[in-house]
Amino acid sequence: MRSNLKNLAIAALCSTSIANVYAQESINFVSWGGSTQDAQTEAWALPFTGKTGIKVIQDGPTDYGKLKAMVESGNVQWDIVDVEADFAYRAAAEGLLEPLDFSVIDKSNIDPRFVSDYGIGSFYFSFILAYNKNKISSEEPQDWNALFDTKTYPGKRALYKWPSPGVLELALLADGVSATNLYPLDLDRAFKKLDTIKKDIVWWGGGAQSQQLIASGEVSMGQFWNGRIFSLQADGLPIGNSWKQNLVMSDFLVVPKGAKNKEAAMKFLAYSSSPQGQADFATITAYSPINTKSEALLDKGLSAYLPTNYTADQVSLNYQYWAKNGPQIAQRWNNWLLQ
Amino acid sequence: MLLSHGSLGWKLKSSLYVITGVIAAFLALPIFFIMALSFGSSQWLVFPPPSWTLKWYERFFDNPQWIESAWTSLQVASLTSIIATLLAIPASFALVRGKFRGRDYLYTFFTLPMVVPVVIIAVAVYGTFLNLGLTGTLFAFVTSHVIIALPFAIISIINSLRLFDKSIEDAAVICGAHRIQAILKVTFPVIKPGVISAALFSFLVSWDEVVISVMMASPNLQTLPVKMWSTLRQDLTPVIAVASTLLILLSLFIMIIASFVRKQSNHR
Amino acid sequence: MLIISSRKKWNNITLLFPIILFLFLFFLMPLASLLLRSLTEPTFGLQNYAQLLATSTYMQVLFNTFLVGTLVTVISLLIGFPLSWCITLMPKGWGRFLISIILLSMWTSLLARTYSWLVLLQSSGIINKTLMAIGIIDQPLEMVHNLTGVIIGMSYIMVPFIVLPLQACMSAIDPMVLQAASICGASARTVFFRVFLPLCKPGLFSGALMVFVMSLGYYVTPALLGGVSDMMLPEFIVQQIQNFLNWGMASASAVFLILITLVLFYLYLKVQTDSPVSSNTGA
Repeated sequence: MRSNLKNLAIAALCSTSIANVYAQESINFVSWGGSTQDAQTEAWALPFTGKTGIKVIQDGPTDYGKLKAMVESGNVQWDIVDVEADFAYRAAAEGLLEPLDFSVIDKSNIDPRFVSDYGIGSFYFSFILAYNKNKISSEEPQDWNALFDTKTYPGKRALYKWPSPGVLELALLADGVSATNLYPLDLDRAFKKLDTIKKDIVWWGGGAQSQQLIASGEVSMGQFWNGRIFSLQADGLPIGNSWKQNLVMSDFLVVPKGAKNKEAAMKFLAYSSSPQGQADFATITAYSPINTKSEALLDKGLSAYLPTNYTADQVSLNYQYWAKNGPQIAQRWNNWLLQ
Repeated sequence: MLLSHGSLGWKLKSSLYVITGVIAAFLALPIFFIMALSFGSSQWLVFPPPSWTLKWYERFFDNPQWIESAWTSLQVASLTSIIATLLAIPASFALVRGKFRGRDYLYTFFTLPMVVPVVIIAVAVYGTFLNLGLTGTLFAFVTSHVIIALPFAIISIINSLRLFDKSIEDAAVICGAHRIQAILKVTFPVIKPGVISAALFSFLVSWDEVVISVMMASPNLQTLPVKMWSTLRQDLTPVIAVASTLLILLSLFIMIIASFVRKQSNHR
Repeated sequence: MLIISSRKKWNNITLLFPIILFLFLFFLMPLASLLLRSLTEPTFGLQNYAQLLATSTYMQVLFNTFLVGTLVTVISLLIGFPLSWCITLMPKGWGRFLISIILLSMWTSLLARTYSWLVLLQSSGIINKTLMAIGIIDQPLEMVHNLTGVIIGMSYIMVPFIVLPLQACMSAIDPMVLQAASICGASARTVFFRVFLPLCKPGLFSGALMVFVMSLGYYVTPALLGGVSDMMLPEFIVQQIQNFLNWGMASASAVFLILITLVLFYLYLKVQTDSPVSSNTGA
């Protein structure tokens, strides 16, 4: 009894002194800005600070060039960065990242698609086919084929403009390649397929622009992030979508090599990837949790809007393939775009 | 005849006026449009909007990030304005008054940051500051802004200095005034509009700078254009229109000050 | 005279010292290190330049950059000339009013103006709606996320840089010269092309070159209003850094852009007839 009390007292003492140390600690969290980052602040940063006392300073937007420059100069100001999954693999290969400490982060419940030695999923989302109902006169489009069928579905197409996973895959799927045989990508075939609608493509570079294009009817359909479509639908706009062959992509959280607050960053990652953290983020954004335990914590009405609900139709994009071949594909991509 | 109002044929004159009217509308349209947009209720920027609202203004003022970044902008722009002007005044005197060779080359050198693409300056300066461990500091912001503000400051001051008849200052010196005294009492009041416009130009250059600022920004320090830029790329929200409107009002305010200063100096 | 010559030479140097030191440290040195980077990353040599010149992407980007620069310059001239003329002609109050509109647009936040065009030009935007309501078009015009958007947005930004020098030049022309020509029997057309236009030439030329040089380096407006296939050099540089992490290649293309700009700037200075720093009133 007495020793228990003593232990308790020591524990209490320790925890207060730790709390004091924490109070001065802070980490810099970098993401893409806008509503995604607001959601990350609300779902992760605020409760994390409440729990640990570690202050989370928000910065953005993510800039890969800056990240690399910081690591090379040895003056790293960022502790946690939200990056695209393929970049997480590429940066790890280039030696730009700290390995994660899985004694702090529990990865036993993380979907293995969304965790590597150097990064852990931030959230996952799908590229889905969406359309403006006012612009569709025939029956509603079912899959990526509709994008290439300009006769039945006239109007412009919105596609993601960066050379990253998604566009080439959907072109191949529409051309009849089966989901299991996608990789290695048949670039000639993909570009040939895209050539058929090249003049009808409007490229979008960010979420805001994509929403603007479809909401205004500037494009009749296209490839979109599911969360952006969700927020349009929640606003009551006449936007429809199909989950068939939804392409799974994700953002990873990584710690740049030489980050100044590495330990605190690991603790943050433990929280952000926890069932609760992931569930809270999903509730705000309609992006899917990467933690398999999170689903039980979600509101039932929401699941119709989450990629998690359409796993049977999912096609997983291969980040490792892109991490390795991305630069060459990008060169080809640029050439094709500028032709 | 082509330059006097009365003698131009009415055909030519009316077509010229119509064209000018259209051009003036073209110039004014985006400015007034964005102001109107900031009061529209549509999140998706439908125009004309279904109804009018002030909610985007509430959103703007509710978000501490907007206010903080505006405050940072104000600090950076004020410091930039002061430093650029202080660097430009002596340099302009030396260039206009000096009799040494190579003045034209120096002038070219000083105005060079105006023509070197901002992207390149941004990338280059960022690399340097990163190695010095200075990125994200107020110092880095101000220094990088002063670089691109200097040409504007130099040009304004030199232009007013060139118009000033130096023999007046010399006369004051001959009459027994110290040179510094003469400059302060005789020359400075005359070139004051040039100095003020140098300060205003520098302020606005810094206030409006996007590309360099995006590079210099850090978790603790970002200017208004950085906040606008990252929001613009991520979110479609009329809050941008609010920020734009406030910026336009500020420009208008500065212009009014400038024209007031000009009028005062004309009255002399 | 005595006083002037007694001013020592080092006096000028001390006055110039701060600014030279400042620009040397924070402008020249960074640019020099960028140049160095283009030669040393990833390994020492000219391979970045060789690679740049070998890729068709780069050539296309270079072509786009010059195309946009040329089109923007021509259009700003076509807009700026009648405007300057009108300002010179008009009663003073109206002229001043027009100039304040120009100044207001010039000093309005670049992001704000570009954003405004983005919304104005979209297919469901107010311009398309108006044109369709009047019945001029029945399909919305595509005016944004392509070359048209870039040209409109950038010309808008550049017009003031044409008008301000050109208008100054026009108002300095003595109307009597034109009068004389027409009294001597020249037709209005002849006076315009043979007398008026040549007299405006310095203003036109310096404005146009300035606009051209500035257009080459613009990033924000093309990034927001342009499409993917109209990528210009500044965007290419940013892409090299942000997406490909290729600082060497980015630096090499930056060096190219600087060289082009410097050559043009040199031409610009050659066109300016009088020395920019000499005192008007003489010593």
